[in-house]
Amino acid sequence: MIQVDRLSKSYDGGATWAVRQISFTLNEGELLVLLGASGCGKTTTLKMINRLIEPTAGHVFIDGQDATTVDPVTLRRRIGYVFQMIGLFPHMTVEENVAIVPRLLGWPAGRVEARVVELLDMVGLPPEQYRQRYPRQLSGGQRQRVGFARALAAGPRIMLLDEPFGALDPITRDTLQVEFKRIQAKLKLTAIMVTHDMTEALLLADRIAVMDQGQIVCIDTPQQLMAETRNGMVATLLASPRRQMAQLEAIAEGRAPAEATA
Amino acid sequence: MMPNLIEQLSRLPIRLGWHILLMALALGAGILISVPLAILATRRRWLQGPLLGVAGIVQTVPSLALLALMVVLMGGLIGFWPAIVALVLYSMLPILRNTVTGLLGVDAAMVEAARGVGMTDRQMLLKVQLPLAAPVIIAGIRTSAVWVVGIATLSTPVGQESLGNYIFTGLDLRNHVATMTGVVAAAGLALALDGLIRLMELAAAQRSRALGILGGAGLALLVLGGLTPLAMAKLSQRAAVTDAGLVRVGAKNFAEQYILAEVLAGQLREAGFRADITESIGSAIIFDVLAAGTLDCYVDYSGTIWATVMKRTGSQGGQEVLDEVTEYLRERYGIVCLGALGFENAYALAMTRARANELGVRSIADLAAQAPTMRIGATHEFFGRDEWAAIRDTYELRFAQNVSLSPTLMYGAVRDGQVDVISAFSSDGRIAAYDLVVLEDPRSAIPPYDAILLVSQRAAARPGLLDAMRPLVGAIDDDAMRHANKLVDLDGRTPADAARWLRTR
Repeated sequence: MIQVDRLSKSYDGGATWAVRQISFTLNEGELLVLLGASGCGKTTTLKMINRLIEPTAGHVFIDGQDATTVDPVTLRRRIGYVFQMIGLFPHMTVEENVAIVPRLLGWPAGRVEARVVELLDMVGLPPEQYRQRYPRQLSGGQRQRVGFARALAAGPRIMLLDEPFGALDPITRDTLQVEFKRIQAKLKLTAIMVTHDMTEALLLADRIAVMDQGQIVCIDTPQQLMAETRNGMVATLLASPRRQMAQLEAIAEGRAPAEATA
Repeated sequence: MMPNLIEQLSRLPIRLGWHILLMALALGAGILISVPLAILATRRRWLQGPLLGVAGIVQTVPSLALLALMVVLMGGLIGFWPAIVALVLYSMLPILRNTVTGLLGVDAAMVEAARGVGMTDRQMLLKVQLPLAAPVIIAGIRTSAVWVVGIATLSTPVGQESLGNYIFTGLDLRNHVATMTGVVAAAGLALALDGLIRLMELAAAQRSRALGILGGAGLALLVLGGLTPLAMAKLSQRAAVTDAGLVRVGAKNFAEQYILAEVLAGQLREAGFRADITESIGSAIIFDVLAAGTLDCYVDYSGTIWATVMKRTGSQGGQEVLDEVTEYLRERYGIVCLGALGFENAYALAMTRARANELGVRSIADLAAQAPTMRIGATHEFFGRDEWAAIRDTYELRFAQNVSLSPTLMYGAVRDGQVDVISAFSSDGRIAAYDLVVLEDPRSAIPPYDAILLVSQRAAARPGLLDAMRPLVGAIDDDAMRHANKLVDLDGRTPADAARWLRTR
């Protein structure tokens, strides 16, 4: 369980706020999407949870423990992190990349080895074929599969994902989204994911927190957000997926997609 | 030429061995010092400017000056240590600069990923930043290695044997085969290192273990293979040490000094001492080195001690200068001046007989009127010496141009009319051979330069050592020395040949 309590970040001593007084609670196994335009503070919020960025004020409680009182290195090893730019180390093989955190934690070699095989299988990369390869020998989708395997390696209960599908082509993105959702549900991971893609948020999230100018505008389930009409900001974000949905339906029914030129 | 080449090549294993030892240790220490300093500088940014600044300033000090400075700073110690310290200082800049650049150039996303997975600063450095910066760092080491091989040739004038001995003795004695042997060997070593370290660089860039092993094995082979003859020579030497111990004989950088060093060494060996010659020591430091006791004996000239050590000007008769020098050295440094060898090697202004007759010049005083249209050639050392200032001021000489030349080149230069006057050495065989005339010094601006045998305090205390050398006092007159010099400078004989002639004549 993650509790975020009035979390704030200012880079100029309080004159302006990148993130201002954000609070939410996330239950075990729940996937929260932080959604918003560039610069709305969603990535800053994510990075404050594992203290890649130190909060200016406020607290994060993980299973009731204040994260600001834990050694940040220990904290980060307990939390899986998937990076926007994937962030695989180019001088390490697939196997070495996946084994980083278990090795940092001092697991015995045999256990690390078995875990790497298990994880590569889980993310759909046959170990015998891929473990010795370097990141430059993989496609974008394969790299992010390794990125997921690395984040999962030490069996974290919590995952943070910073636009994990942002660098992928649409078909690969779709496949990986489905697989990620399956793994997240199977392992009952508590996860926070940042994206600016409303469709992705609607498809994956248990709840969506819409952010604007460092604050949460509204936080709700995808179903309730779709029904929402009062909030102008949310309506704008939803306009595009709604229009695309209507156009797709029209094409499927053999009609001309009338709104396409609108 | 063939026998000469064969003789030169016979010395290659030891000289190359010393050169490789100097290079390997200097580079190793340079890496061990520079990489951690550079890492510190990437964490404390304010350190970067001062650190690279100081390393850059070291780099701008002329290398020969830095090496000579080390001898002075280390209290007159010559040989291995001043050479290695100067080389380490020289090796640092490229390694520092490339390590800083390499570490700062690591993609910020990689650094964030490393922190994100929970690496400590130290783990991040060792597992991510250093491996990713390795190609750039190794490129810096490669630059440094090539520099160090080149600059290590300059260890010769501070008394450390290296491939530079070929180059300096070759230039001192006009033995071009020796010079070329040194140049080719040093260049070959630099190229081999450059190639092998380049392999390591590629190995790091392409994460190729095979290339890394190839480069590493090549480097290990080069260093260990190069050091083997030296190590074996040292071991057998240690086994053969006699109770008389080693006497270190020094020679400055011209033929006469090489010959006299051979004469001293021969005399000592005959008396059962083991003698080693350190040749081509810079004349600016050789006295300090004797005073410090790292050299045991060499031949200097009374006027040189008079002017440069005692800072006296003007002159008296030869005997008074000799007496005062002997007394001064004994009281001030405990150095024993055993006596004069019997010849003089004075600074003397000389010109071709034809030109002197044409201008009606017989003495230095006659030069004053003509000087503004004339060029004078001399060693750069001479132009910096008090004797030159004394001559210039006494006779009010104002030459059109002062041309700095190596001692071996200046005689040919005056013969061929490229300069009008030179500061010759009065014992040089080429004065007679090229039909030069030595100009008179009616106002005694130049002190007498009797060749004197100097022995360090420590060596003088060894039983039998002074007795062994005493027969040399008064044994070599002007004609004999001039002839011996001619054998080397003009007839292409070795200093050892000339020394044998002197001792058996």
